[in-house]
Amino acid sequence: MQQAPDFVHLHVHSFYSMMRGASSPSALCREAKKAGFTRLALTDTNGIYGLMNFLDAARENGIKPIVGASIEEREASAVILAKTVPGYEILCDLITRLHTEKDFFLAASLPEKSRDIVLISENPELVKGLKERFECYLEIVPGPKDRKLIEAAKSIGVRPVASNAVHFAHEEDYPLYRLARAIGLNKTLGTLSDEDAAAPGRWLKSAEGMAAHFPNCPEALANAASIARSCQTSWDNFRTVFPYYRDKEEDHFRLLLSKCRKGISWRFGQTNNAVEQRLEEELDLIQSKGFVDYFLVVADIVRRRPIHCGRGSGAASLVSYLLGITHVDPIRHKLLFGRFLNPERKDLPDIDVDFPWDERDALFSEIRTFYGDERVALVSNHVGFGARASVREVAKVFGIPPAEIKEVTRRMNYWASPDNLWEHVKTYPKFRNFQLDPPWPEIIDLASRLESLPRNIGTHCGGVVLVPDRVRRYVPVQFSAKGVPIIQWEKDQTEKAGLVKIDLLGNRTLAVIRDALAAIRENTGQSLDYPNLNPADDQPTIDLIKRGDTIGVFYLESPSMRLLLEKSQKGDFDHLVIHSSIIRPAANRYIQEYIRRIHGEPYEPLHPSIKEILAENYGILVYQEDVVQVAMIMAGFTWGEADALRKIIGKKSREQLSSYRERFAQGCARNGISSEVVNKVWEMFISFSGYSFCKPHSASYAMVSLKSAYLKNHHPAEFMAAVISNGGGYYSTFAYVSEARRMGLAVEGPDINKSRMAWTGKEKAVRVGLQQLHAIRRDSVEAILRERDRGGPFVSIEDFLRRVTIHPSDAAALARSGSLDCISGGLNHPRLLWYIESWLNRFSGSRKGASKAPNIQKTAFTPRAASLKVPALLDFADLEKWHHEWETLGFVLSVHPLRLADPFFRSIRRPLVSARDFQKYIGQKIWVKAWPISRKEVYTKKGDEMEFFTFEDETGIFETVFFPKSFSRFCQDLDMAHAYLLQGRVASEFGVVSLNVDYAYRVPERVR
Amino acid sequence: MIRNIVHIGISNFCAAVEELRRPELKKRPLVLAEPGDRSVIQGVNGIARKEGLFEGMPLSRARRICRRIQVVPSDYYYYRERHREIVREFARFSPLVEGTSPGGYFIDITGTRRLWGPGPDTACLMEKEIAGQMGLHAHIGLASNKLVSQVAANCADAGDLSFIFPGNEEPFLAPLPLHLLPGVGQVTLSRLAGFNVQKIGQLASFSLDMLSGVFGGTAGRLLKISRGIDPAPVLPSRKTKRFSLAKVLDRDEIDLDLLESILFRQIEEAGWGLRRHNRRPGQLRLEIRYADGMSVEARKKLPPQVVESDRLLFRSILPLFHKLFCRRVAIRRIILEFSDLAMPLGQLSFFTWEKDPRQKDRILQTALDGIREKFGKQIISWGGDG
Repeated sequence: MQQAPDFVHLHVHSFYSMMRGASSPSALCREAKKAGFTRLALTDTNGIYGLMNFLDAARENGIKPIVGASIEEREASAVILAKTVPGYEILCDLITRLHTEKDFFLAASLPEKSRDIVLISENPELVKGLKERFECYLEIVPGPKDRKLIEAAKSIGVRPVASNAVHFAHEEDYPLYRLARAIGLNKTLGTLSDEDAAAPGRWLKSAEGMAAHFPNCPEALANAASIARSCQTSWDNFRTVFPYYRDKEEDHFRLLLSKCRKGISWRFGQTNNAVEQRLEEELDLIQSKGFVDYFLVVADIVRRRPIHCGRGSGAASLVSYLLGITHVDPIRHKLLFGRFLNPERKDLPDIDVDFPWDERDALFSEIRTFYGDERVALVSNHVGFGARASVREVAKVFGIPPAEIKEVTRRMNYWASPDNLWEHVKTYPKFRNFQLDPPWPEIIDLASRLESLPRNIGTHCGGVVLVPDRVRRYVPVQFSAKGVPIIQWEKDQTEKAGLVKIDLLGNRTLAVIRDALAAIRENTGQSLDYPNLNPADDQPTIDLIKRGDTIGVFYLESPSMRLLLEKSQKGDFDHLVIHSSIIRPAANRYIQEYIRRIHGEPYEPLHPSIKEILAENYGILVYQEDVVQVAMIMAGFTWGEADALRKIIGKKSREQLSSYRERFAQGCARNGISSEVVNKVWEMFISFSGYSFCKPHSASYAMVSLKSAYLKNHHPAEFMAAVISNGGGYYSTFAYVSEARRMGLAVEGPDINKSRMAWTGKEKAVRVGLQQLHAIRRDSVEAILRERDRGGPFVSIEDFLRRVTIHPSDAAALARSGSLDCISGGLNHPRLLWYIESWLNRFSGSRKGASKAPNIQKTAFTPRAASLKVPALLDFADLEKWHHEWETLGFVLSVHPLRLADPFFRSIRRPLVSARDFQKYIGQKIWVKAWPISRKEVYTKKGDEMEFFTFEDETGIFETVFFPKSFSRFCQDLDMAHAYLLQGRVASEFGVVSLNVDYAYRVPERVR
Repeated sequence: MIRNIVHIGISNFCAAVEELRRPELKKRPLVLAEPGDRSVIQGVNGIARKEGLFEGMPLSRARRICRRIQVVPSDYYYYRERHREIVREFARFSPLVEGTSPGGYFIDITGTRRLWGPGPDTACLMEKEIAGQMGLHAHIGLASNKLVSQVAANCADAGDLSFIFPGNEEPFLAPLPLHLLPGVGQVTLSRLAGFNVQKIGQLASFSLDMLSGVFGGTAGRLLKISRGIDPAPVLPSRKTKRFSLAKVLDRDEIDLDLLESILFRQIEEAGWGLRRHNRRPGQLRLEIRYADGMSVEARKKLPPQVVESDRLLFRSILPLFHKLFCRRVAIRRIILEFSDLAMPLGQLSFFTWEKDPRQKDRILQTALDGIREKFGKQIISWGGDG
């Protein structure tokens, strides 16, 4: 048998070339192994976005990985391979410069001379120029030009190297590759030209297949193999890189210790045994694991922003508490440090800290200036295709009009993912009676293949890496769309590469608290301090939580949480910690059990051995630590094993679970525990799948919840204004407005002289902020506010128009929203609108845009408003006015939006029950009018879809359930912008009523 | 002199004509549209309109709204014939008959009193004529100008006459909603609604000064029509000669190669027709309609003699097509329309030794046409890209 020719693929693109490749690194490695290769290079376009995944895949398949990148700039392109670790650093530096420097030229940006990299290019000019400086080869790709290039190699005196410039693993992947190119270039398959996409032959051919292309130049193949042999292939020893603290003090451990000592006197007044013992334990571990600097850096960062919340497992640490990173006493609340740092823990834990969402960018740039630009970068996020996006993008390639695409994508739900698209389309109730005509089947087929293809990189929500020297030594850095430096790896690969990250996350509630505190200070002079605000013993606050009046309160506002609060009648700190952990997707039946036990139902502990540790949780496993501890006690697992079990439960991997189940049962059997108990405990373990929390995290958040509940109770106006201004809550603005009304607050409309940008609250009223006017350009509003600050309140409409340069459509929206009523001088809205339009027509020259308008209104010849004649126009009807409010503010301000459907409800002959009277109708069928507030789709145990819907009417808010039968019947009719007529049976549980809907009718008048 | 203008309006003309031809279609919603899922409604009867169907609505949507519709392919030539018949009928009453569209007619009967009697009688007589002869029932309006007579007709029931005495135009219009006023488009209508102006009378009450403050140059026209002033004469319709070819694609298509070949076939068709009629077009209008209903068009002056060869014609039209087709949305329909048709009077070359560069193309085309004429159009076609 003839021996296979010696050849290695040195120019290979994976899908990490961002729409320039179609296969994953693992698919490439698998294919390479099948084809008999032992070495393989990965050279993605302008990056090493998938390096860590490639190294993993190579290890799994027994392939020796070669690291490189394909550098493509305007003038030249070349493949650069790293022969050594210094070569890798050169590569990272080069890629960084490519992304960050404007006048990047490959030849000019390469180092003077280096033996650590290999350069391969199809461009004879480039190779000729660089051959003295580096090891250079001329790349010969099979095709019409190959003979000429072999000649060229001879004439300039460099060696040719064979390559197939691979863009996909298998020849059958070509259509997927073309699709990715079309999406990437915003083109259609029909308009994709030859230059836009590589030829169909650019797949991972076997060595024989490649040899067939080079009968005339076998040395080109041999050269590829010899380059591969000369490159380093053991890349497994990426060392851990910790953040580095900068200080005059040389001994950082001593520094940490002294800071902790100061912390003790701040937090506890004086030290005691428990504290000393815990501190010593923690500091030992921190030092041995190398986390000293990490803590110092985080402490330094949180010091810069007083309002923050350390969370996650890091909150279990006394050191974080002493350094002011977290605010929950871990000793008092029995938080286990082992969840964070543990002698057995191999992966690197991180501390997560929340900051007000709008302060994060500024904080990050502060860190950059303090620690140095080169040392700091954010972790990136590889943005892929969700089900909707993949369908949308493929449909665009097929030229489907946007409206038609939306008809399909709006039917898909949150759980659809590209790999289950067909199943989704066939079984999901919203697709019933919806014909998918050609070419839709083809689109769905292709869209389902786009799964996991990264499309571009964005910024991770908070991960920061901070290294001792320069980030670009470890990984290439580029700029995000906002101009922030980000590294090319997402969080998993960052962790694999040993870069320890700090998570600085944005949190809206912290901003809500900050704004509310500022407003309270301004309105009352009362100064509340965030860190010292501890309302754990404030009875009115606890009562508010007990009642479930928690709309707007951090973490406690979702309908399911409010129901839990009402049913359990518990609102103290300890119970809040349990509440926020037990609300998990898979733990529904244990929630019921939990409520029963709270109300005094007796229970047997799962097993005597774990009675103690579950006592505070009513014998139910609530936290992640409970799983770990129970596994350790009952089955004799080591901490490492038990923690691995916890992680696997979270990831829902079936095979691994069953092996752990076996081991757990065996361990329990050794301790004489019956299989019945094992089954019960295991079932509870499974309720931790999806997501779950550790106790320190819940405790940290429970504290924030309490603080915001305190503000809601004692300073309702300031609090609700801050909630609405910061946005991003569970509910819509309208729902919060309704809630404010239920709290007895007056909601005042926008006012050009009184409103600020944000919503404001004082005493018993909140006022709409000008930010709420969606239809108006942001800079117009800013200009108005600037002018008001400068020249005082506007005295008349004429004064307003003269002082502010404003676009006619903005002025009209202001008038329609009622913002100008205070200066209208008695004109009704139609007359006011007429006045504005004719004023602007006459005095600002152009109707089209204020930008073009000369500033006539600012000249000395002030026009006389009296000369403007406004006809006598009738005022708008109420209904019309409400519509205007809806258009300009996004909700109806003057009345409840159900009034818009009054004509319909008047025609209903049946008696309609108000929300506040539900208690009187328990077990009965009733008809109600309803305005949707929020919705949540869930699956039943059998896998059928059902939905929890929150509605309200003029008298109150109420929860409803659409069980699978009514869901499949009405789901196509349900949306958030209509009034509904519902019929259903009132159910009551623990004194809390809800409505099980049998019939829903959408009132046809659509509110625009 | 006070004019007497009659407006006769037959609502849902095409559907009404179709119902007359096939009485079994009456009493159920009727829709005129090409068969096929993707076609668009071209006409509806009164019952269908009440169900919420209207012209221009996709048939598939109409089926979803109303399941019991009957769909009949629209027979445009037949409707046009009926329309011309009606125009001819009215021409007996007055030489000034304007058939604006099938189902809408203005007749100027000023000065026919001694011949036909008083205006209202004449108008009724006209209605009776078409009712008797063709079974079509019309709304009749009679007023001193086209605008008011049209509004008047719209206010009358089928078979009834609405006569506005001269001088009463403004009071007649005043209480009517603005959308009944011809010449006020959707944009103006919604702007006026923005000032809570709903009735024609409100508009008429404004002073020119006030109105032009907001509506600028169009204020004068708005005021005039709102007061029922319309000096426009009744113009017997004239027809400009056009040659147009519309092609609705079998499925929405976005592949450029395929689209070009479709366009080429369409141009071949057009070239054949033009040469058969011995016409040379001076201007071309190309319109493409995307799958989402948006359409774009462009015009181009065609060089003389280009019609002599399909290939030349294609080459001069293709850049226009590329310019138009720039969205990432599939195409549903392509329309080619040639106008300024003239006889092909070519100047022969003065110097016989000079070779006409198009000579080859012309000879080839003549040969192709000859073969097609003899053996059928499909018998020969271009290979590759023409």
